[in-house]
Amino acid sequence: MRTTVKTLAVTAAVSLSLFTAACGSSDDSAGDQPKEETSSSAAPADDPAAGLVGPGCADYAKAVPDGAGSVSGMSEDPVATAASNNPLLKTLVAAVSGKLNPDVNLVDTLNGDEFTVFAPVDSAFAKLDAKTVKTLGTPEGAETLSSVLTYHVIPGQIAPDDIDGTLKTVNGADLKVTGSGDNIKVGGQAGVICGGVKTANATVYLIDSVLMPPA
Amino acid sequence: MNTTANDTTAPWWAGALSGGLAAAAGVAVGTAAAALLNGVPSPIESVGNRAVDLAPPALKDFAIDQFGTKDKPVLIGGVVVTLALLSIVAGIIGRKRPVVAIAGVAVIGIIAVAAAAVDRTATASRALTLVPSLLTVAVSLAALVLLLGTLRRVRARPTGPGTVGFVRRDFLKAAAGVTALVVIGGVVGKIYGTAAAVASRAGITLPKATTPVAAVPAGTQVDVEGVSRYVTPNRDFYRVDTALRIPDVPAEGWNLRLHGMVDKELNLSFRDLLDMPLTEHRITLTCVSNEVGGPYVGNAVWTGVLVKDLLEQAGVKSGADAIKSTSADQWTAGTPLEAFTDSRNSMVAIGMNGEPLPLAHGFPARLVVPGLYGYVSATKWLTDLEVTRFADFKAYWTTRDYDAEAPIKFSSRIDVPRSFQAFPADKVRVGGVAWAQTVGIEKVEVRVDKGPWQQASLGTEDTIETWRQWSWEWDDATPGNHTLTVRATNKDGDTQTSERASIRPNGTTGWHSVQFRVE
Repeated sequence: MRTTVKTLAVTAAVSLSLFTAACGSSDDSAGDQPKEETSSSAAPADDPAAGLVGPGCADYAKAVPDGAGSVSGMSEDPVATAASNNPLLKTLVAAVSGKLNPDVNLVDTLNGDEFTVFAPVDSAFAKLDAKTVKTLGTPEGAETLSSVLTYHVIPGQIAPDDIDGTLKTVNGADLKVTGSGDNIKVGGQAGVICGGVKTANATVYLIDSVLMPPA
Repeated sequence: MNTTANDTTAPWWAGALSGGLAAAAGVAVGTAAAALLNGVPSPIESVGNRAVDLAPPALKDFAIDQFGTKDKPVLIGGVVVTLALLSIVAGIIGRKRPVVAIAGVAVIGIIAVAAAAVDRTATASRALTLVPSLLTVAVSLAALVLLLGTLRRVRARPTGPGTVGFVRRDFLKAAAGVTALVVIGGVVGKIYGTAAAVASRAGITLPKATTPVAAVPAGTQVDVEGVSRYVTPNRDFYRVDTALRIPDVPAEGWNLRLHGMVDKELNLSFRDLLDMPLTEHRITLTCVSNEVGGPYVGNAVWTGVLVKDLLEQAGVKSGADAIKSTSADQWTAGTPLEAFTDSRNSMVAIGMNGEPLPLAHGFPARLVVPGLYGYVSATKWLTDLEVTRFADFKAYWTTRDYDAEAPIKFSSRIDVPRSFQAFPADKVRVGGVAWAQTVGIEKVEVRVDKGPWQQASLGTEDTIETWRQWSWEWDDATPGNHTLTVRATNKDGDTQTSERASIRPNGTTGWHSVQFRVE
């Protein structure tokens, strides 16, 4: 018995030293294996419509059933590009792309990393008074516009299940999100219309009011 | 063996079976996981790769002499045999001293996890790479605990006095359960992981290039933390293609046909390519789908044969102006003939950064053409080159609203700062890359906000077919939010346009900018 164990152990040791030598200088091996993988030019395997929350998701899907601005269309582009294809986000897109204020252009910056973005829809901007919006378009208003926009952006992608809590925005100020499912409030004032919309690099929550950073 | 009263030690074969089955279950499940994940080597492969690094050079030479190109399969076999023997020993010991056996298996498991952690052949993320080996450890340990448990279970003797220390039926039941796991793992691994190309690639050792690439000149990599690596590792190299499932093309039986408007049709096997004088070049590839500032640019060392040489053998007939290339999955690209006959190093590549092409990057062979977007030149899983005329065919993307000809638009990118990155005021060092393949980068300029353009320092130029790095330091940085913008000038004296063009029909333009913060 003991001999059996010993013999096997010695054989194992010898086989290890023998076989480790049995390879050339190339230490590469088949790292890749062919199996299902989506490429950027093909339809994503995961259903982008899965995991959406908010009372407005059905209306959004009805208003934008297909194309680049739809739920599945947005999932293929980086966030600023995706937003620019969404007919509900015209004002926001103008604000981040230098069209509202030539001194404020966050398109590349927003496309360049992973984020969670609270995206006020056009009717949210319509609630602001016209004078405020006009000021945001002036050279003096650039700093304020930048501050407001960055208050809507959180580093990293956060799914609806984990969104409840106090989040640090890229503006530096904290933003409080409460609730879940069809009843999520952002910053105590804005309601989530439809959240968890995936883009290539960011998770988007459409909201019904513009958030104002603490002064 | 028997089950006489008061003999509480199970027979050695049961111990051996326990150890062997536990290891087999772990390996089967781990290998199945590796097969399901993309770009993740199996635990056995990872251990094999590390074992090679640790073996003394003399032994390696001996092995190469003995086994030649079969060294890979032999190595894998060696790891399997070694593991089997060790786990059988552990199982036998475990009949009496289970803690020792479990510790032993755990140590083997840690070796496997460590090997996976440093496996350079993995192209998936680090975390994903660890999944198969962690599963292997977990399953092996669980199976071993289960099996050894049944070996040591003490029961009242069904007839007569005393106890039974080994109930054969209990053990065999548990053993059957673990065997089922081995089979399931094996079947999954077989279905999802047995691309013939995987084994084919594992059996290939690239010969040394006849004309090896020159060493990377000093100073190509700028000294700014966070700037892309000058040569992109295979695991980080972008992948954009139309293949939902990577074509499974083993090198054995693969054939490259060069035909069309030629004097003599060529049919080349993989062996034929290996036997030709191989050349190596660093070439920076760019995808047309790259947004301004996007990630679809990569620089690698490509090993292969110049298409020029193949065309010379075949003899091109007059009137031809294009080559239509086709992949194993029938994707097509149209490339100007001139791009293969002028001074650039257009290749049929079989190696990428010193190893056979990864499956995702076109194993066994692909086209690499400096200066043209991938969709008009970089055919992967290449099987067919037809010398023809643009007027006579339409390639895959040309039928989808993209231009038939698409030279890479020279461009520049900011790697540092990342979006919204914060710097201390005295340390604002930024940098990135610029590319103008076949022309070369002359100058890179940056500006902060709407300030004046300032010249960035350029990294050493490698060749005009590769990208060039740049860096810049902001000496009198002011606190607050700022935007950095970059633009490049090529050696023809052209400066990038600020005008934004979208991807379709022939690539993006515009200056890349990133907002950052100085504290």
